Amino acid sequence: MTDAKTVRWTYLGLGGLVLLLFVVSLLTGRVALPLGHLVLEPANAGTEMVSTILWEIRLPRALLAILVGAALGLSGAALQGFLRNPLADAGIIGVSASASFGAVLALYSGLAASVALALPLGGLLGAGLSVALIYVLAGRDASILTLILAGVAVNSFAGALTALVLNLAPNPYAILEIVFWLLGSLADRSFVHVWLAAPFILLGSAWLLTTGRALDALSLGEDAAQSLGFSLARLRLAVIGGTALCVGAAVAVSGAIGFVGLVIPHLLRPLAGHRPGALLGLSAFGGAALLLAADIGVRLIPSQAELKLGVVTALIGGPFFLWLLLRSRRVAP
Amino acid sequence: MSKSASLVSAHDISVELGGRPVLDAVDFSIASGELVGLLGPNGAGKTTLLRALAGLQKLKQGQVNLLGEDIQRYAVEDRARRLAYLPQAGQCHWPMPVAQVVALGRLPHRAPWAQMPSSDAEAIQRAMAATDVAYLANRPATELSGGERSRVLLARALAVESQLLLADEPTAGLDPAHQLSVMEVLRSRVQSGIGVVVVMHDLSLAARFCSRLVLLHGARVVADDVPSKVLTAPHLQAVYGIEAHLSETEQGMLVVPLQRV
Repeated sequence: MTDAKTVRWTYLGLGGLVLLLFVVSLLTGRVALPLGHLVLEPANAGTEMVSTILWEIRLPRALLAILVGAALGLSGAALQGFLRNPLADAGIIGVSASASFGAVLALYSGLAASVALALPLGGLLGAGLSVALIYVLAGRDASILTLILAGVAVNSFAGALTALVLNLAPNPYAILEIVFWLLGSLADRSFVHVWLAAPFILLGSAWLLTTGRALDALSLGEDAAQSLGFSLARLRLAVIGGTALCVGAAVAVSGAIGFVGLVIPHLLRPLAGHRPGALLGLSAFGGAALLLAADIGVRLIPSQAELKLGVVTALIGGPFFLWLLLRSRRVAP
Repeated sequence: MSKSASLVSAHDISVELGGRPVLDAVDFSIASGELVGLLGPNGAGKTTLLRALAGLQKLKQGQVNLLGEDIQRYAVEDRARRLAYLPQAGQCHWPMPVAQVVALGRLPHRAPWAQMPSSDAEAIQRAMAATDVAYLANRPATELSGGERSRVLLARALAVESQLLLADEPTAGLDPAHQLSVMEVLRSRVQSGIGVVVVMHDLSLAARFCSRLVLLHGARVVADDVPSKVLTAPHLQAVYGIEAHLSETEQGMLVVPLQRV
């Protein structure tokens, strides 16, 4: 089948791109690393400073870009397949907003300053609570529409709570700290963040990747999918639970980074033959490549303060998405 | 009739939707080699009965047996290999190529991460040839006409190659030639040993192709017999409120609705 071949080549291409961008990401930054030394004599590649920069600053940053990007791309693809709506992403069911609120609360309460892990744990807790709340609101046999409505409710409530925290912030510095964190960034992260996010993201990704066949079947509607042997309850649990793990952990270590989950599946869908199942893995690779590239971008763009990653993805993602919509309207009115 | 001969059977089933009885103490059964037509006016409960037979409908009372065993006790994967269900007015939500849509019918037979075996490709080819959609193989499923789409979705259901096929209005929106060819396909599948339950509104087509008709009205079964005993003037008047021209011809029975009464 030509379709399977296209998917295979896309995997190869995206895999190569991720690898290339990973290396570029290691070599990009304020301090130029002696590339020749690193390649020829990796054992004694210069000073202690060089190895510190490489292993303790840039490596965790590049790894996080891969993890967070893959988590956002994959969960976006799964949600679009599940909700059968190309405009869906983790934002739509309120997971991102709730994770952000959890992290903001950790910042506001000062816990984040005294306990290093409070910030990411707050994010994970927020994501988990939002999923529990959506389940309570929508019930076990919820239709997809009820689920979206419950997500919108949770989304706006979490947004309101975040606004409340900003409103009650004791001083402008606290507000600044919270707002900067909300913008989303991978700067100054360490391996602690990698170890914290990786298990959740890997677990959530594995869970989401099991839904491929069921999502394919769901393109024919809920009744047809059930008659093809897929339990909707199991599928719903996997998509929502997997998304909570992936996005909760991603937001917890990087703040809110938008548009990756929306644009990447949209962009790769034709290469997956429009099959929601085949799109899952591709979107993970695509998300990783996009976030690596954007994170290289924020370090290369000259500006006084380093640009925030979330700002850049939104700045590129927004107009790009509009362009995609305009183009698809022209093709199929 | 022995119990084991029936593919799927409903025993005294009742269904309520939004407090309204949609099925009221309905019995139904189909054996291998039968092509059973489900008839009745809009809202008579045909689709609900079909969903119940597919194990998709929550029952208020009664039980549905698949191959002699409670359908709710089947694992969904096992159930999917034994029966295929074609929903009414279905559609495909993504512009997948038609061949991929038909291939979805093979999902129940494939292990989670397995590649498609060649036997699957053959089943897909057979199903696409049967409903005359092979020439659409590479077209996006969202860009088809209504009739083409319903033939593609029927091919998807046929590709399951199950012992039982439950089809909700597979001939709706088709031109006369394709209506006939769909009924011929169903009949040939039945002759090869499976059972088919089909919901329809074209009474002549039902009379000519089905071996048995079940007439639903007001959530109950009004008649369940060979076509000539179901499509009678009193039944048509009581159930549809119509007067019809009925005649036996060499090609089978013809039913032409004439006026409302």
